[in-house]
Amino acid sequence: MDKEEFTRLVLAMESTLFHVSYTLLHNEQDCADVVQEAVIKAYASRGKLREQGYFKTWIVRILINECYTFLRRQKRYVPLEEEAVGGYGIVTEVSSPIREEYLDLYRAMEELSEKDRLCIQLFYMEDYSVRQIAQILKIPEGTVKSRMRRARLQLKGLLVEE
Amino acid sequence: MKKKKIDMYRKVPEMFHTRLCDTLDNLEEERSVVPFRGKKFVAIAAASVLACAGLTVGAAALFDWHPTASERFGTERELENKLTAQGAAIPENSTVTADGVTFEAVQAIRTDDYYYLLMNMKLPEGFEWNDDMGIEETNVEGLPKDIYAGHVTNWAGEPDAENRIPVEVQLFVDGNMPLGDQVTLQFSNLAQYEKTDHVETVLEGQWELSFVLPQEADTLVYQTKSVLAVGTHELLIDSVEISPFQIRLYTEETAAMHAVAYSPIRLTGLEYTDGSVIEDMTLALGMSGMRDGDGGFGFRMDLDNAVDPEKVAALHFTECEEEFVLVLNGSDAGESHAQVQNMTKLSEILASLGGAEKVTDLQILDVDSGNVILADDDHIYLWDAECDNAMCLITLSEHGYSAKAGGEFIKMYSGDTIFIHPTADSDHVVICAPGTESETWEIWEMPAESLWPYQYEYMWEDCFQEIGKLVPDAGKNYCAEAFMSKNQWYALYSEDGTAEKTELILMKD
Repeated sequence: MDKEEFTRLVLAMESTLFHVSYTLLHNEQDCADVVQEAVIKAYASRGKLREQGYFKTWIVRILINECYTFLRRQKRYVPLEEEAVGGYGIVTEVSSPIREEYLDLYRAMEELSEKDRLCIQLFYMEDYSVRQIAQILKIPEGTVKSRMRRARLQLKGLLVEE
Repeated sequence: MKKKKIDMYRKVPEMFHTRLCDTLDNLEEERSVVPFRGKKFVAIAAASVLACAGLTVGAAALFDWHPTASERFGTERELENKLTAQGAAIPENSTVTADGVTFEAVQAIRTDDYYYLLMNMKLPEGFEWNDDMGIEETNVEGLPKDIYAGHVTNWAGEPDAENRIPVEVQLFVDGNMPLGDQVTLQFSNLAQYEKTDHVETVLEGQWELSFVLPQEADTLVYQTKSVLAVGTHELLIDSVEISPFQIRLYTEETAAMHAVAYSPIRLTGLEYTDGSVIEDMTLALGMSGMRDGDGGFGFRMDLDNAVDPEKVAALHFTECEEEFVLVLNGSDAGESHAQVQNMTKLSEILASLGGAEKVTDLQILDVDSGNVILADDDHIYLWDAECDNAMCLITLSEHGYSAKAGGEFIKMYSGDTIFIHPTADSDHVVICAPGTESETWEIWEMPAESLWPYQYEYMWEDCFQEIGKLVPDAGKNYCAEAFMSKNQWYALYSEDGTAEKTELILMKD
């Protein structure tokens, strides 16, 4: 894959890269930094990508790893017990990247655990299939479905309350 | 049915777009790899093995597991019988019929973190089920209503000829909300999701179904005091626990945290006593950190397929082309493996490379959890100050760097990347950063345009302080500048002023 092809593929995924990183980092500047690192590393490792058809899942996987590396270094670790009853996420103030009509949904998603939120983001906002999400996160498809179902029900409860 | 995509975001911020375009514009080809001092590594566990069981039931009646449960846990008959004998899997027999729907409890299994409850749901004749339907509300008798976040329901297949479908419920174990010996699930209504913009009740009904709860399965505990290599660190493993569903490594928290700062622990295989190795484990982001109820700290991994702990002989940790094996019982080790290799100390690297001779010639670029990135006139090093394990990331002169010619370098503020501008006139930047696979650092070049000067250098302004302002008579025993990390000042100190005796110290208030 040459530079031109790589650039074309990355730019086609620009919004996905921003959205996914924002789901985890909640800060535009951090997103720009982490995505830059991920793109540089992805380019350096493009020879390891066996099939170009997997590019979408491959680069998002690199990005998610970079986001978690960043969060670990910021001492905002991946939740140690993300399956605990009640779940939890990071509640942030309203940010400009979100359309006003979706602010309630965004705030409700912040209440989800990070892994549940990531599944919802990838499925509904980035249009990945369950199989692709399973490949990105390297978890069984059934686990993806279970997380999404749990997340949907939790979102329903939160949005109905409001 | 087409999935409805939710377009929640405005367009991508201009700043983000500009950074991405600049980065792409300046991608180049050349890079070299600084290999980690890779090693094969064997830790021979202590010979004593403690069986740390849940309450073992002596002669529980065996039964045929439901195929759904077997598939969920990847088990075969032998292990299923073993789990049943231990009381970790039990058949159920309660049933409830109301509003045309029958729920029939099938079996229950206890894992480390949750109760797995399997039931059949028989729908009314003619009722057309689809995968986007579900139980509208699930509660657990005695627990706060609608505490659903901790519970998972999964539809495990298509309805059979009798319009019956397996349903799995996972109730997560929470020490603050013990469930006792029995639990009653309360279901309300069946609903349609997905196809509509809202949840639509398709069948009204109320059902209560009780399950007897199983006990924990036997867990094997190995008291090991073994050392595991993680990145540049040596991580002391106090004990290893293997249950049929989970593997846990217990270690010291502080050391573990800075060990995984750059390199997560990746368990990639289980070796059985018959020599076979199960690979391609589900790892995603490495093992998860955990704290147990007794204050112990470590890492855990949930297994996709249940295992018989007594048949696990070794754990394989693999990264890049190197493999590290933790043998659980030395007497069953089988083939010999490579020997432990000592890590390199900072003083040895400095001596071998002709690096700084005085601590005043060293400068800190970053400190994080005891890991230090530091530099002298010609090298940048990664140093685990706690374990005194070090590696040289880059020799600057080999990449055209000259301080006299105006060469500069800086570490990215929010990431691990180091930018090196070899001379004032260089049209390129040398980049040194961790590779996509951990335990390697890579070096390559990119055009300087858009990368140099580093536009976020101002973020570092408050992170450096002349040592004289913190230690008035610092003299020759300290590096020139202290570094602030997480609101604490660090400095390099040497009792005799030599780089050989360098220590990382935390400046007291």
